[in-house]
Amino acid sequence: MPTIMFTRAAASSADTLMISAVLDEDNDEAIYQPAARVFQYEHKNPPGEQWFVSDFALSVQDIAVIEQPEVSPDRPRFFALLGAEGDVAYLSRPDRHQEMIEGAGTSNPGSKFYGQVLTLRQIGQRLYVIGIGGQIYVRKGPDDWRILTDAVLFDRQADTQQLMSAPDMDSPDFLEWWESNRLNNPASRNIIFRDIAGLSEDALYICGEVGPGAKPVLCYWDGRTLEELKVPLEEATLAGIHIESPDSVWICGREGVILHGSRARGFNPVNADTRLNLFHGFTSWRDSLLMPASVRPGGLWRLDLQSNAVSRFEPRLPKLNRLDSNPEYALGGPFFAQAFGDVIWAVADKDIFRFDGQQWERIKHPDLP
Amino acid sequence: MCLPPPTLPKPEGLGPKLLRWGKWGARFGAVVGILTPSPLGDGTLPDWYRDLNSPDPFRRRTAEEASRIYRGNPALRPELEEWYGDEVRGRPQPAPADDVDERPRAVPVPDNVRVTEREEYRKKCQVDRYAVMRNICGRYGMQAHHIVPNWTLRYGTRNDGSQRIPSMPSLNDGMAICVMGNATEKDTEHNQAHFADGAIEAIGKNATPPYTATVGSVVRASSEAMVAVRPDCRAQIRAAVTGQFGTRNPNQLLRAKRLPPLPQETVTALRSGATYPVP
Repeated sequence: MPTIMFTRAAASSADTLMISAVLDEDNDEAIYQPAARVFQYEHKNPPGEQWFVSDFALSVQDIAVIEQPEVSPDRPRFFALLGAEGDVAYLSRPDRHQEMIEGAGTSNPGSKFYGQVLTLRQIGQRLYVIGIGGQIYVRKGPDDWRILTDAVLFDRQADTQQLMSAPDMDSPDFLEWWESNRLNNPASRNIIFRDIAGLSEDALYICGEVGPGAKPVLCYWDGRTLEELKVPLEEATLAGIHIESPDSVWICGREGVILHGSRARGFNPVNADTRLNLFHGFTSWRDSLLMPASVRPGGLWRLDLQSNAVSRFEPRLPKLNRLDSNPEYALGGPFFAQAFGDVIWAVADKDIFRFDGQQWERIKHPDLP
Repeated sequence: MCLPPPTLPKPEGLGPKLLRWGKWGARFGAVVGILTPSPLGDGTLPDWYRDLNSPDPFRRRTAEEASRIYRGNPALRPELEEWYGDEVRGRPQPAPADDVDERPRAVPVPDNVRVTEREEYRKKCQVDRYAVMRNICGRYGMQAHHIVPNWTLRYGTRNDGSQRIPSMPSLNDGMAICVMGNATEKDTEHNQAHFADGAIEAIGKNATPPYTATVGSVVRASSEAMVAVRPDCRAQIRAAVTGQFGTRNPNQLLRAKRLPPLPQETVTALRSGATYPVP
């Protein structure tokens, strides 16, 4: 019987958590389905009144906490959902509201086939959405999303024409054609942007990767131009950014990568035993940064800001529940962590945990055993 | 906590084998004792390996039994894995402990061992049928990913075998490779492996009938997306997909729109195995 699996999360406080789930953990094509079940958990409510649920016809790629009083007069700070095709659903008050980013995605009638959008953030007063194909959008006003810059926007039309002209894959010429025209051709760069952060709208860091393989991409937007910064790594997928101060920016990603620096002084890898963890992002906790890692080996990890040492967070997370479809996933870790004061939220495929400053509590979900 | 008694009979056929092997294995076990298997032959671990340390006594005993017989005759591994799967199928996984995992730090922790195993396995770049890879990938904490998206090979839903495009591989026969993480989980390798969609859907945008693309173009686009994720496996990926699709008509039409509905003329063309150009 299909069972739900959590895929995204965001917390707005030490007591309120929102989680998005797909309805069938065993269907790896659920990534395509515009069918999400979104839960809100209120920790302080009495038992039986803690969970709220709503279904959305979206393939939810991100949940963000934003503050837009003109969108939500009755609750200026609220959750928003980002769908893969460029839908932005505001869980606003008194009424919910939804906008569409023109041209985004791959399936909408107005799509320009750049690819899905992946991340929604508020920086300063503005909302930003980024994704595959070098997409960077900024919200200028109600129902008014625009491309921030086309500097690295993928040329899908040219790419499709080239792909159609390729020799057959089993012909002797194919590999040479592939190497020269596609894999090593700068014109074929299809950048995947995964995170965006900034202290102001004129000082944005945007990170991600470009194939083949995973070549790191780190860009800086100064309000007028997009600059691609040098990253001293041959291979890395950059997934999360944390700005501690203008001179101290942290970036993490796959293969245990952690970078530290700034645009002004450059970025360098942090030399620590990070194994091969996929670090999804950062959250600031006491004198450290916490990093959830879902795989290789996964877990909740802690970066000490004084020593730059990386270790598992202690006390350790309780053991994870297994996926019915793949029991080995019990060895993974959370894809999400967020701290508010001493309190930490952590969410994995089948688990929700809350740390109260002393110990972990497993939050029981009504749809899971 | 007591577990409920089985409500379904055991599958027929393997029960007698169990009895026979069990007696035989017990005698053998008395000689050599119960040993932990190490990576063998193809570098993979048997299905029952993880349950040798299971907190569930039934799983542990069954795994020990399989392990003991296996050590006496490694050639029995496929049958033992099948028997083992039947024995534990439907049995609830042990409830996770609510207490904090306080494994000793002085010895290698299991996740270290598993990461090393997994990294060694990944170097092999194994590509095979989805039905085969699904089990192998799961054993290493990975998931099997169809290189050519399964949705391009059908005009119906995933589980409706009657609505597949003729002459194309089935869900289980499609070539697959192991990738890290869940497809729906952000930042993972598996999630990225699905990014071929844009390329395939762009091809279908102006096609006739609408939302179709030829076998040749879908295979190229999806292979390229897979190579982008695993460039170290490019030779194996190419060999596997050309081996599977090389004998098929490269001009046959496939589906190039992920989300339903599809126009009727598209469904008609896909159902009939139409090729490009459609007369």
